Amino acid sequence: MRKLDLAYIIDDDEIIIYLTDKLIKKSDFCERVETFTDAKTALERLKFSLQIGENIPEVILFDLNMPGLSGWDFIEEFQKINFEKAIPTFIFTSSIDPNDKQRSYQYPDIRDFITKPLTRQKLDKILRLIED
Amino acid sequence: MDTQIGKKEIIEAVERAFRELESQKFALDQSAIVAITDVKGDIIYVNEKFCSISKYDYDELIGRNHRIINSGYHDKSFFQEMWKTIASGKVWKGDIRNRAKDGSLYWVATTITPFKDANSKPTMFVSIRFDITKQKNLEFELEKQLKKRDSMLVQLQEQNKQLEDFCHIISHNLRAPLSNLSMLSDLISESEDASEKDDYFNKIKQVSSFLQETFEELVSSLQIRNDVEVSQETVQFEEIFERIRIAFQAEIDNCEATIKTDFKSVPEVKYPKKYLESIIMNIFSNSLKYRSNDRPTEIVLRSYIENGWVCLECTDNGLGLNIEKHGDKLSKLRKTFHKHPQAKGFGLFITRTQVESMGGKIEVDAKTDVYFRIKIYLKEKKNENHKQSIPGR
Repeated sequence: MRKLDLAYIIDDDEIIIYLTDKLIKKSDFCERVETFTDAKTALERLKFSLQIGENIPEVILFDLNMPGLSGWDFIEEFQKINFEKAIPTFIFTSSIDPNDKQRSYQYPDIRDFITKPLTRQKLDKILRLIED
Repeated sequence: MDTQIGKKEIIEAVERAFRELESQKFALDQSAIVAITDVKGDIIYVNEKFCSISKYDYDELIGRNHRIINSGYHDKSFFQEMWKTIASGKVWKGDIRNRAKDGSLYWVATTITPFKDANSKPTMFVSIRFDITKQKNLEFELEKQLKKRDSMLVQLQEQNKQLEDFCHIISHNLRAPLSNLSMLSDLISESEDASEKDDYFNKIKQVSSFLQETFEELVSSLQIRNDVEVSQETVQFEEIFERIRIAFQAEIDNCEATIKTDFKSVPEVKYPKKYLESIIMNIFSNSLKYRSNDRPTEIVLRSYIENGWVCLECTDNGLGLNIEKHGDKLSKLRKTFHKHPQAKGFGLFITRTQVESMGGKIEVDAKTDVYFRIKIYLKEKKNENHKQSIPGR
C-alpha cells in the first residue's frame, strides 16, 4: 500500500493527539501529521494551504464532541470548500452512536468511523479504504 | 249483558289489589331504603332500613326536612339539579353521600320518583335507595391506588432516564482514559528508547490520575442519589464564592478574567451547604474552562428572585455551546460538557443531580460566540420563610 503524504488529526483531547501522533509516526501510514485541538484552526489551516498552494492532507481524522466547532460543524464547513480531489475523512470517536452513524450517511466525504484507541490495524484499514 | 258487578266482587278485587301492594311494599322494604317527602322535602314516611342506616329513630325523622342527613359533601348545584328534575315531574337518579346521626358517612344509589296529581303536578317524592358505601370506598381506594401508581410510574421513568444518562456518562468518560492507557501500553512495549519510555510512563501517570478523579466524581454523584435527607442551613453566596475564587485564583490571573458578583438582592439561601459549594464551583469552573481565547474573559454571578424562586445565575462570554442548533438543552449540555481536555464533564451532571434532588431545575441560554448563561432555580422562596436568620443573634 502506498504511504500517504500528509494526515490531519482533529481532537480536543491532548493526550489522544499526543498518542495518535506518536503511533502514526512509528507506522508506515504517512510522512507527516498535523494535529489540531480544535476544528476551527484546522479549517483555517486547510484554507490557507489551498490558497498558497501547499500540500493539503490526503486524509483527515476528526472527533465529534468538541467545544466550539463540533465534528458535525466541521464537516459542514469542510463541504463548502472546493477541492480538486476529494479528501477522505474519518470520524474518530470513542464509541459509535447509531444516531451518529445514521447522520454520517448524508456526508459523502465521511468514509467510515474509526474507534479509539487507534492501532496499526486500524491505520491499515484506513489505507485500504482510501485506495478503494 | 251483565253490566252489574256485584259488591262482593268489588271488595274482593280491592282486597286482592291491597294484598298485592302489601307484598310489594314488603319486598321493597326488605331490600331498599325508602323515604317519602312532600314537595318541600319534609319527610312523610321512612322505612326501617332508612332508620337503621341513618341511625335516627322513626319519630326523629318524620316532619323533619330531608336535609337532616345532608353530609355537605356535594356542592349546591348538585342538589339544585336534583330539585329541578323532580320538581318538573321527572325521575332523578344519582349517587349521594349522606351523614348518619352518629356522624358516620354512607353512600346511597338513589332514585327519586315524583308522585303526581291529576294535573301532573308533583305532590310528593318517593326515594328508593341502596347502600353502596362499600363499592364507593373501593372505588375511591382504587382511584387513590391508580394515582399513586401513576406518580410512581413518572418517578420510575425519571429515575430510569437518569440511570440511562448515568450509564452514558460512565461509558463515555471511562472509555477515553482506558483507551489512552491501552495505547500507551502498546507504545511502551514497542519502544526501545529509554527516554521515550519515561515519557510514556509520565503520560500513564497523568491518565491514571485522570481516571482516579473521574472515578471519584462518579462515586460522589452516586452519593447524591443516596442522600435522602441532607441537612440544610442558611448559607451566604458571597462567603461560599469567595472561597472558590481563592481556590481558582491562579487560573483567574492566568486568563486575566474579570469576575463580577451581585448577591445583594438575595444574599443567602437555606440549602445544603456542600451542594451549594459544589454547584457554584462547577458552574464557575465551567465558565473558566470554556472561556474563549478570542476575547477577554468576563464572568458574572448573580442571585435573585424570579417567579418566587431563588435563582443563581452565571453568565460568561466564552465558547459555551451551540444551543441554537440543538433543541434538547440538557442532553446537549451533557454531551458537550462531558468531554473537554481538562474536564471530565461530570461537573454539570452532578450539579443537575444536586439541583433536581432539591426540587429545582437548570436552564441554559446562549448565543454562540457572544455569551453563555446558566440559570439555576435553587428553591422556592416560600419554602424558606421560617428559620431565616434570627435578628439579634
